[in-house]
Amino acid sequence: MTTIIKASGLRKTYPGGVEALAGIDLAVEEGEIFGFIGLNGAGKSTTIRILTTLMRATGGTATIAGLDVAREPDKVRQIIGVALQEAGLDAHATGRELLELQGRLHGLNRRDAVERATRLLDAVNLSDAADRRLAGYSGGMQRRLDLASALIHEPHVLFLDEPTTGLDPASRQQIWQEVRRLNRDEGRTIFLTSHYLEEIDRLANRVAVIDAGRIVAEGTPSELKSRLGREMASLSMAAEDRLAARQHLATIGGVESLVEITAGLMFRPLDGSRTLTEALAALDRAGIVVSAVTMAPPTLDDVFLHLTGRLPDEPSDDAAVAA
Amino acid sequence: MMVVATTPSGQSIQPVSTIDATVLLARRELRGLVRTPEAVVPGFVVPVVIFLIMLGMFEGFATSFGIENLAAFLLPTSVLLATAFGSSGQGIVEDIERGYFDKLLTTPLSRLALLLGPLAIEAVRMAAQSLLVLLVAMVAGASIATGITGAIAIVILGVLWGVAYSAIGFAVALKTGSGAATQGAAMLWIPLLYLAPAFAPRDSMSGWLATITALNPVTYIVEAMRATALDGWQADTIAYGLLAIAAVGAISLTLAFRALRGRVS
Repeated sequence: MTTIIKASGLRKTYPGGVEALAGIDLAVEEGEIFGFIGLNGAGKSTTIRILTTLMRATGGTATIAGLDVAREPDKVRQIIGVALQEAGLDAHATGRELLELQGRLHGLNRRDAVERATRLLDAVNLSDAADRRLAGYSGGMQRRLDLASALIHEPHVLFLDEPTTGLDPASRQQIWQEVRRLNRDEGRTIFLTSHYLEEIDRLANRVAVIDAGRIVAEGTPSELKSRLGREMASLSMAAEDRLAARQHLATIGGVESLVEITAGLMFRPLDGSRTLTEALAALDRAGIVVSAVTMAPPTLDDVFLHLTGRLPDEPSDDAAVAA
Repeated sequence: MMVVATTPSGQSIQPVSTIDATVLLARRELRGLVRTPEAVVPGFVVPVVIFLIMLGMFEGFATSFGIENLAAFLLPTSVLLATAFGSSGQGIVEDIERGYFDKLLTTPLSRLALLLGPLAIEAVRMAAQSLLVLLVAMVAGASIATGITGAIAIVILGVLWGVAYSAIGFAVALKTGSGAATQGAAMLWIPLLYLAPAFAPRDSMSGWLATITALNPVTYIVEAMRATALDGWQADTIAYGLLAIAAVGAISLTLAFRALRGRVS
């Protein structure tokens, strides 16, 4: 297994002075699906833009298949395919025309571009709509075409930024199937960002979590979840009780990684059910009503919450594609 | 590690030359224009209509101003109006907003082609619009002192100016990605056109008006076109016109290339 994407000490400070990346190190193995998660503004998009040669880093290096993204961007562009959050499409062109142009710009001759476009349209189930204007495509269709346009030059590495955001469940399944097929049957390395942690959990071999410009955790989804301990306890309670509940629970030894969740509070009970019983007793004495209790193995959401203190946001409206 | 892009036959793919990329993008631009006739038609219709209106309005007292051939007299400003209708970078704004600009940037295409392709189509569009106005003027009885060659020269001057000026819009589009800002920049031509000696000769102006007119590049282009239309070949007047175009073009194209570089790195 060779490292195909490598970033060392990647930094980016924007002209206004904002430091978006404070030194990122990444190593993605050839043939794996690598998940990259983080809150909006954590540095996800900046990292992808630098790796896909759309932006220059202000420090550090990044290489893809040994090619430096800053020094040999054109060679990098030939071996990577990119589908960003905004399905970048030309409204007045037809699906086929867009694919053919993308192929030509990558250096394919006319015949090869036409042949590959037809094949890809078939692969993403857009053959029927191939000669319709893109302005009339639904959100799901646009994403599939975007994916096809990232594949026209048969790249070894695929960068997918939020590939299923805003899609209905059926379209999402289709994309997941296609991503798995591209990886398993065609051996392509896939660098995937998503705010749907379930998606990352299902698809990714390894994951990195970025927060405030730094990588805060890295490993397989199982490794990350097991680092949090075997089980997490969730207590549901009224919103007005939470502050008091936090104060009481903070005094109990064995209550770890206490965070607020939508329904109430969540923590890792160091001593399993003993800690949990103590916690419930303390809350009961304080007159706080706990409406539900669950003990469950941690999910990536829990991992994320633990690392960053929040759950990933929905992407902003202008990035979501109407289904 | 040998990781190379290949064609179906297994040969490695070479990136496209700047010229080929420019042609591909120009064709795409043209295709987009053809498919949005509502964006293209005004550029053909408005200058012709304005020409005909002015022809009708001034017919009565043209001779009292010493103008023998009104149609030829009005040709320069009408051609300039025709070359004011271009995309002025709006296509780029749209591409940036939709994310298509980024999609293009993920290919190894020559970044220069992103500017040259659309500019080439600007020229084609402006030439077509000017030729239509010319045709209408000829039908309306314009007699050009320098004949057909002169008429073509007038159109060429107009198109060169049109592209040189339009590059400002491209610069703003690339720098800001904002449709409103790009539109605003393009609108600057209105005062420029009206502050040129469209109707009164320059020596009849005085004071601040004379100064502004002397500083306005359009002044020299109008004078070059007018001389060619009414008086005959005047090398020095034409030279001043070309100089004005070159000066504005140098500035606008520099700004446009700088803005392009700023966006793609």
